[in-house]
Amino acid sequence: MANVSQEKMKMLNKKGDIALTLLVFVVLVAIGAIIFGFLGFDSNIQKKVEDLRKPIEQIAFNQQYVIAQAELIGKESIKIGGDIKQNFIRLAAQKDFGLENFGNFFRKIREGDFEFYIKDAEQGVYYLEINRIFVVSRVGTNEVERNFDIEIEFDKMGNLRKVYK
Amino acid sequence: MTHNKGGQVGKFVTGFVSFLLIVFFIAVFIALSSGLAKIKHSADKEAGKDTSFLCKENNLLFKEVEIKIDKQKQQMLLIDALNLFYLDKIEYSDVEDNLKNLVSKDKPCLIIAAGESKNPAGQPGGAARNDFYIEFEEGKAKTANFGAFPMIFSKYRNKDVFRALLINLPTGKEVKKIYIEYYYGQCISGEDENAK
Repeated sequence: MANVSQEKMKMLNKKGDIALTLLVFVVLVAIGAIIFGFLGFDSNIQKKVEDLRKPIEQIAFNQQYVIAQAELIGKESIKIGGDIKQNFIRLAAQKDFGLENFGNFFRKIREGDFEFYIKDAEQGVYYLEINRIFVVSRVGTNEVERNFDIEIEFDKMGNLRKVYK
Repeated sequence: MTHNKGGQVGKFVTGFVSFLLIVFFIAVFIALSSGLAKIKHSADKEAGKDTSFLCKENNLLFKEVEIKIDKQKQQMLLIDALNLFYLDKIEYSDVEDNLKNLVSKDKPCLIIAAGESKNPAGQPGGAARNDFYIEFEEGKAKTANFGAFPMIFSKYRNKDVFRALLINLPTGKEVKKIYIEYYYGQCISGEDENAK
């Protein structure tokens, strides 16, 4: 009776060992799968990130170009004096090369669809406001459009006083 | 009963070892990932993938320059001066004179290369004639003969520091595709390259 019980116990212990060995094996397989998935995911996302990065960088460049252009033309318009809005339109026309991707900025200026006036005559504060500007970026099949407004304050010398973000 | 107890202890020990193994692998995984991320981040920066150039103040092409057109001086962005140059409306020297004013002790090297195909920096012979290389040395701006541009530019190409830009420039009848590569910052010397 004792022998039978001992045999049974041995068999049960053996079964327990198999289960535990399997557990370690399953853990190792799971770790392998995670590492494999990680490596696979990384290389996959890399290309996607690259594809997305380019149009995003380009759109940021295009926006910065438009803002830099508005600041420069605004400054020059104030320096010339007289009708600053007309100065702005004239100077912008000289800088319009018809380049793609810079959206409606030059068209808005050409059509006079913006505000440029003396906000505070005493302190010599000039205010430029161009609303609903858009710039576009096309890289491959990806296209990004960004809409923004420009609000800039200049001093009487044409220096930047405040750029509203 | 003793066997059962032994089995229980064995089960606990194996389970605990498995648990430690999992924790160990997770720790290795996290350490490896964060280590790789750090390496990759610095590699991206070296490869010119940092985005500081997207800030208007840091971008060479948004620097203000003064160009004489029809005997009248005009303030414009450098990118517009380049457009005028590629449209043959201003001379090479008009652009070059302005570029000389942009180099300093902090940013002593400036390169602008343009062409009708991708990666224009480093083109040989006459194709490099319209490229610019300005170096600030011994307190003044120096230029190099365009014949030496491919050799100079290759050092920058190897470091992958060029920024690229495509301009679709309307010329009246057609749209001219101009690829621009540019660099503005510390000079990369040949010695450094050899040392690497």
